[in-house]
Amino acid sequence: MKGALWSILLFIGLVAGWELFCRTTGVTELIVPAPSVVLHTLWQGLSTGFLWPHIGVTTVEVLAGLGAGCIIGFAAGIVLAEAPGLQRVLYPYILASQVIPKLALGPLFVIWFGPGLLPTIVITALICFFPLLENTFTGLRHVDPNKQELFRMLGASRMQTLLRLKIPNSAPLILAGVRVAVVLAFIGAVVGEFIAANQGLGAMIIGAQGMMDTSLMFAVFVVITVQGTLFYQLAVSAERWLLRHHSTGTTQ
Amino acid sequence: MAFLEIKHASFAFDASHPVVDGINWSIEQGEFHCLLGRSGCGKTTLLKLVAGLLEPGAGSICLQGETVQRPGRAVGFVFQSPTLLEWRSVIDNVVLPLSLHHRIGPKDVDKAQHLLELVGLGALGARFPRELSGGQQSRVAIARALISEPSALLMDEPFSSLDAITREELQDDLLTLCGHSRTTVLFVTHDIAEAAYLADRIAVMHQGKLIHQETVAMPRPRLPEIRFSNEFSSLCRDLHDAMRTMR
Repeated sequence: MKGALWSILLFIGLVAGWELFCRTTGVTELIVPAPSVVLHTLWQGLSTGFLWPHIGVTTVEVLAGLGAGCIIGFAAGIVLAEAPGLQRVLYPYILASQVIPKLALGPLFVIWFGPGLLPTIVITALICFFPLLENTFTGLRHVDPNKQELFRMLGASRMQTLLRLKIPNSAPLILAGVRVAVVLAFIGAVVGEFIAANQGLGAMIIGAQGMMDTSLMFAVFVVITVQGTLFYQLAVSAERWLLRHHSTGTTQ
Repeated sequence: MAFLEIKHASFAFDASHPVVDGINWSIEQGEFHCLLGRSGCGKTTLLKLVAGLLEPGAGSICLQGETVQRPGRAVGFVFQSPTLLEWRSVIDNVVLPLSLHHRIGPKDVDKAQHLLELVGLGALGARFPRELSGGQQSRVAIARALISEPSALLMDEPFSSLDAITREELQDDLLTLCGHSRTTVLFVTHDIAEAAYLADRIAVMHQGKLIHQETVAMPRPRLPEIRFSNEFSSLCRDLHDAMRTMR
């Protein structure tokens, strides 16, 4: 609790310093808008309903990209962990798909999928895919050999061993992957919108740049930060609840 | 035909060093046998051969007249560590062997509850493994091994990580449980006193071979006092000497 208090005090101090800096140096709003100006712009954006559709678009992209990326990454992790032969064949390609900067694919995706939400969703999914794949794969490969022997002893089928031992046993690692993916999803969606969208918070930043509306840009930063933190906290809470009985859990 | 027969069983991870080297042994139904030996003598490997977790390179293992080829439900195995699933409650851990083969009904839960009471954990069914002490976790592991009513129980140093007093309590409880159900037990240990207290017969292993065997004449039920009797001490001495001579 004490840490949280200091954190809030630090925030107030930083904002106050920033405000003071803007007022005393008389720096132009085009370069650094004061917090009060940003807050005003933000409030206007929210109260007139101007910002909401863009927040909605980005949220949809984050959720769809995160969902698709996590599911595909999780499934691919399982397949690669369970079929070592396949792993040797496919891994170089998966690695190549991750090493290539996915944002560079944005223009291509616009050609393929049109200018709607889809290109950004695909970029986001591609970014979220990898941490889930890596963590699922590593988790399933590092299950306590004694527990695996126990399941053999009990005559468990391969499917039972996977569903009732390997996946629950790897849950801490898999959920840590989800947590990383949540953060990456916001980066993916916003930066994806820079290239491939005319709606959403990322597109708004580009729009604001065109109009030299720096305070709007800052207002969008605030929205993205709040939204990202909220999503991250949700992921952490879900993780804590799911892992409440694991020995590595943080509860109790 | 003995209940369990090990005939010339050999096993090697690499050809030049047999881990189990031509072992012959037989166990009658309801008997409690201990495999005693120092670390690395091949006793755990032999136990895994009996369980069907490993396949012998030569020789065979017969359980109730049938050659063991893979793990079967007639055999319960208790590992060195309790190997409980920490995301499942104690009672769920106990019914795990049944749940892999059919849907769990109220009867199974009653049976698990009964077993938990037998091992002295009747009130802890809803707890989770990491809320239990090491001794309690070992008890859950024993209850789990017994739920499918195995005719043979194989135990791989299950008490080796427990303190001396807890270990003795568990030994007494194990003897009571197995005495009730007439379960045949093969128990691997490196602890001389443990073997002497538990077993009807003891096989001493060294470098994959049987070097000594001992029939324990002390009557059953064994009571904790016998640990301090002359008979017990001289038995331990014999075992100790047998293990010492081979170095």
